[in-house]
Amino acid sequence: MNEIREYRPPRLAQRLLSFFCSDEWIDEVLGDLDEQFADNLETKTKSTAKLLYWWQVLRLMRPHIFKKGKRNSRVMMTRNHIKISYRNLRKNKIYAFINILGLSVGIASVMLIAIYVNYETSYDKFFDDSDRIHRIALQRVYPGRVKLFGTSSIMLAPTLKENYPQVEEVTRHHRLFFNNELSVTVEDNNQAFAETRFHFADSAFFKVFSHQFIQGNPQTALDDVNAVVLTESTAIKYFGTSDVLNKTINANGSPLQVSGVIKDVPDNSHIHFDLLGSIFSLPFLNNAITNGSWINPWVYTYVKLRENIDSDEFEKEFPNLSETYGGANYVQAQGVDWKEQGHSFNYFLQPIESIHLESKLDVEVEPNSDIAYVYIITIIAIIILSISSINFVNLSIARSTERAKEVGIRKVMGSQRSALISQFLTESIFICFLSAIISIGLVFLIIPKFNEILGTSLNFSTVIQPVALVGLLIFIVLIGIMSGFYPAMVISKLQPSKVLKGSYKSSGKGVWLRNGLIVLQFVISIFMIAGSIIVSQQMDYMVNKNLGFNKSDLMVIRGAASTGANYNAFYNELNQLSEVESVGKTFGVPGDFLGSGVFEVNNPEIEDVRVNTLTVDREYISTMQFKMAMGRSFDPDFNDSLSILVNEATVQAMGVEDPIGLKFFGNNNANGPNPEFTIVGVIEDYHFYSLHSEISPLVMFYGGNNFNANVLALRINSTNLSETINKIEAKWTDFSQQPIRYSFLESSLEEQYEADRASTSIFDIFTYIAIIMSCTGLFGLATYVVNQRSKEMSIRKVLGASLPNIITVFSKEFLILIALAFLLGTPAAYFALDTWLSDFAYHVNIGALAFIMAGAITLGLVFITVSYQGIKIALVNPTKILRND
Amino acid sequence: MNHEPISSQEETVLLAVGSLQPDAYAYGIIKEISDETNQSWSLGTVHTILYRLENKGLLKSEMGGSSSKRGGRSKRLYMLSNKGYKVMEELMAIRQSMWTKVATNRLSFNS
Repeated sequence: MNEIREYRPPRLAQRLLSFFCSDEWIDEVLGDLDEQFADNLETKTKSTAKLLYWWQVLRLMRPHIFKKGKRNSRVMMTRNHIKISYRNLRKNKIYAFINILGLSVGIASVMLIAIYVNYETSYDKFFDDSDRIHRIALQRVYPGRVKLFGTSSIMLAPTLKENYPQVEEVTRHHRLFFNNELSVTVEDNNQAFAETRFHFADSAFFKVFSHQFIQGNPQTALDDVNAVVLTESTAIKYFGTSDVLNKTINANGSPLQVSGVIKDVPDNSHIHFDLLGSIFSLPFLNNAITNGSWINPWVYTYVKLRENIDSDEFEKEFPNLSETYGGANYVQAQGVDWKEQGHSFNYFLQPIESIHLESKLDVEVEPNSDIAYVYIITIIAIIILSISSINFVNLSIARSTERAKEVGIRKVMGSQRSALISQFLTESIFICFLSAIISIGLVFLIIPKFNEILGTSLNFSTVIQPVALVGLLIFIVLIGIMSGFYPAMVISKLQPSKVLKGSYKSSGKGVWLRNGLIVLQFVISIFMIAGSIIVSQQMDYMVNKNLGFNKSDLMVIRGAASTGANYNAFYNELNQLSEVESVGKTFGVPGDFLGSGVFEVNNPEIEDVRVNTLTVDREYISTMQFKMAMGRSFDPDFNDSLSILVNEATVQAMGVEDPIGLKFFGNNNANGPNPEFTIVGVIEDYHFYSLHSEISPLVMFYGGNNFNANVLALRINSTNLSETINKIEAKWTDFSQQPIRYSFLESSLEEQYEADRASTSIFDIFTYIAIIMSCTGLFGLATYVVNQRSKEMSIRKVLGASLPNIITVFSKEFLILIALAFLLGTPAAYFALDTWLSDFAYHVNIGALAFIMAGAITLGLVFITVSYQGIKIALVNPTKILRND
Repeated sequence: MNHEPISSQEETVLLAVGSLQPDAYAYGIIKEISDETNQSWSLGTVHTILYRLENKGLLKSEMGGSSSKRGGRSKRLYMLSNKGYKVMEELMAIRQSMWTKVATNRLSFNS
């Protein structure tokens, strides 16, 4: 007996039981349970007995045992409220549709944007210890200007590793800056691939970045100079399998051995590579190491600090470090007085988690996003959600006339105000819940489109994780309460005696609030409509602007140098094709990245000029149809090997009237001879970069007779494009092993504005949403007003008012609201658009037309919505409305 | 049969009450059922059935009898009402008569 007493039934279960079990039953039930527990202890283990006890308690949750208190009646009432809500929705299908549609669009936008923000902020967080990994960036101060590099000296990493115990691991990473691609051949399948994401790193790379290895050893993968690590999809592309350890590939002719295969780099990383070789396989980096070069920021340095090292503290080491270890090299390169000249090398740390959103340096691994986008898009989400909640409030209040009788009856039957409030709150939460289910479906449908437009890789599965779902649930309840609270208060306040007599009219108090909400919505609508008009004008402008050359019918062939010894033969063959008007050789066509340099001018009064550089032949000038502003173009009658052409922007930068005959000295080569170049002509400015940037100085060098430029520009003179392409391709295959890569300049130029186009389409989508939302809100308000004034209208009708008369009377009230919204929305839109446009060096002017159109469109929509309600009431026989009195 | 139909679970409980009377309480019934049928019923199940049967007027109950094993808490003791006993008799009669018919056909089951 005593030993049994030692084991008590689980307390918590007992407490649970007494929580829900009514006093009538509790005693005997507890007794029965105790007895069973005691019996179980004799035959079973203690924990089994306890488990059984719990099981029995849970099985005892049956309605007849429950307490008959308030709490349980609430559960019952909630069930009833949901039933009533459902019936109300079914009764008024249009309202239900508008309400649920509006809210689901609102919730879907918020969900989508939450996924987007979650994605954008997740960059690089998947690496182990990502909070301890930093990039060391360089603020390079030159005399008179500052440049921010994401890159740093190749000597930095070994110095840190040897001398600073705070550093756990440090690695160097390099992407080829000037070569857009490397040619990779694989013997197994006899194919050549042009790789644009071939990066290089040292052997510590995988100690800093925890990439997942499928094959090979992360610790030693890059130890060998000729080792290369492939991503899974690259391995499959080359070999058809990921089991490729120790196989050989050829990169630019030198054999590399596959030492590892990793899972593809996740999209949310700021470094994406397909192949990763050793930095020691690059001769110029080896030279930099031999020379101990601190001057050239050629590699990205990533450092993993030890635990509990404060990065701000550690950063303070850099000024000292840079001078102690790099000082000698600085002196060697810039002279003893490098500091006095105004040079400095300031290193600083960037947490890798922040690089994607916050880093905007001059040299990045890839173009980064901007935290401003995240803020803007979050604000948009909040706006959309508030519009849909506002609509919900408006519609609920509009319906209060219809619900008034129900409320009156309920009150007469003894319903408390609190019960009514809880009924209406339940109803709004219920509607929110339905909307949420629909919005999950919407998000599922929209995500692929969204990814396509923004080039992101958002994943629907983010939504269906437990944490997200619980968050969503809380969110829904909150939205339900927020948007249901005001209507619940208003409706539950109605006086039964008045309502049931049929003389219900709401007080004027809420009118200003409701009108205010409507005005706010129209401000947003006008803003969005004007915005999308201006944005599309700008897009048209960019596509159609005269760029300073003829971009149509221009075909570009890249990788022409791969024809090797056959280069001239291929070039001649092209020229003989009747469909090809002319062929120009160049280092790059408009849109391509150009090199740059600083040149000294043979006139002491003119400061050194920093220019973009491009090497071309004389046919390129005529093929592109550049116009000469002054002087002559490259000419076969002259020896042009040291002649240059400059653009008008260069002339402006030099500040001279007539630059013809001036000489440029390159000062880049410290040891070798510096050739002199003579300006022979000035070409009119043309846009060699996108319209985002202003036209900057440009110098064209002459590419001589043996100029085997990689890029060929072909002016096509034919209506049958595909036949021409076939002919050119046939010539190509005669001379080159590699696949031909060609494009048309016009379409590649349009690709420059892909990001703008993306923001345009996002803008358009939100414009539609805003318009739809505002109209539903207006619909609600119109219904309300029409109901309120139905008697007035009936009397007008009896006295002989026509249908247009009645609609005019209704519309007048809204006209004032629209006018107000127009006054508020126009300046807001103007400033926002002005800011957006200032990002473009060349842009349209904001005209009044956009705003007039926005106003007109809004007005038209308002008229349609109001007329719908107006006509409905105007067509009703007045006796039906008036007989109540 | 002029009363509401009785489910087989209810019938089992009625039988258990009848056989345990006057000491028929919920846990006792569970033990009895488990002894006879080798099924383990939860307390909740039995409670619901007892509650339903009492509402139908087939059972009566009163509080009483406790033991140290139940921490001094009293039991609710159930007993068959007159109506309850009659219903059981009827059920018995129906089964009996139907069983005799089954028994006469028995030969055909063996073949």
